Amino acid sequence: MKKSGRIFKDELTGTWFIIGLVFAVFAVVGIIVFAISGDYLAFGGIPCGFQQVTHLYCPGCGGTRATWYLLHGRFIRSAYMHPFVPYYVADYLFFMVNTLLVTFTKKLGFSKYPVTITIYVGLGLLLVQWIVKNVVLIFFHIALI
Amino acid sequence: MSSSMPTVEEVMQNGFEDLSQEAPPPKNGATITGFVFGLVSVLCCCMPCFNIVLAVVGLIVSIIGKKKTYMEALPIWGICLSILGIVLSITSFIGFIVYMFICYFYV
Repeated sequence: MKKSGRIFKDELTGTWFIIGLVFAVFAVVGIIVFAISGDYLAFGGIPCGFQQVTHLYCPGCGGTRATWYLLHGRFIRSAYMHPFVPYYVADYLFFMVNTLLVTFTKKLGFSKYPVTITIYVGLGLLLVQWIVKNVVLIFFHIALI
Repeated sequence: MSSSMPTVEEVMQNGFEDLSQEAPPPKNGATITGFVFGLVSVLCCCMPCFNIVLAVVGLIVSIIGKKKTYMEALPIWGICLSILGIVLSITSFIGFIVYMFICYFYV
């Protein structure tokens, strides 16, 4: 297929796309592992080492359950467990499809899609949800997940 | 044509300003992104599987950024933080395995 010649506004779009293709391989492996032993992994199979030692949440606590709920189509429950997971899956899928559309078509897709900023927002979401969960746990003694 | 040509005085007054306005700002998005990824990978050192992905991506992007920008300090900080993130990731993974081993056999 012939390339459209449109230029992306974000200078790192090409780098992110290559990293996204590598990530896709790991994602396929992860989905196969989840299909085989998702129930075991998501619900207490391997406990979080950080939580075992400190009795606090680590930044990834709830991520496995969020992935399990997401793969079972329960999006709201997944976002409640760990908002980073559904956010990044949506961002990743949109970015990959958008990049292909902009590269190979004349009109479809957004060449100004700010992918680096959306990645920053995701990392911020990861840190903020970690802080909020631990603040609620420490000061109100409520285990959110 | 001679009327539109700037005089020596005008060039002396405005020439450098025009040059500075025309020069495009150096792109340093990769540098900043590599630094942010390295920093977050160090902050998230307690989750080794996710942390090592962040650190490796931060290292790659920092190296790309170092080649593109004139800045010296930030890409080196990004590379150092990413390497630290990889080391912390391996350390925390080994620590987690040892902890699980101790819990399984001795507790």
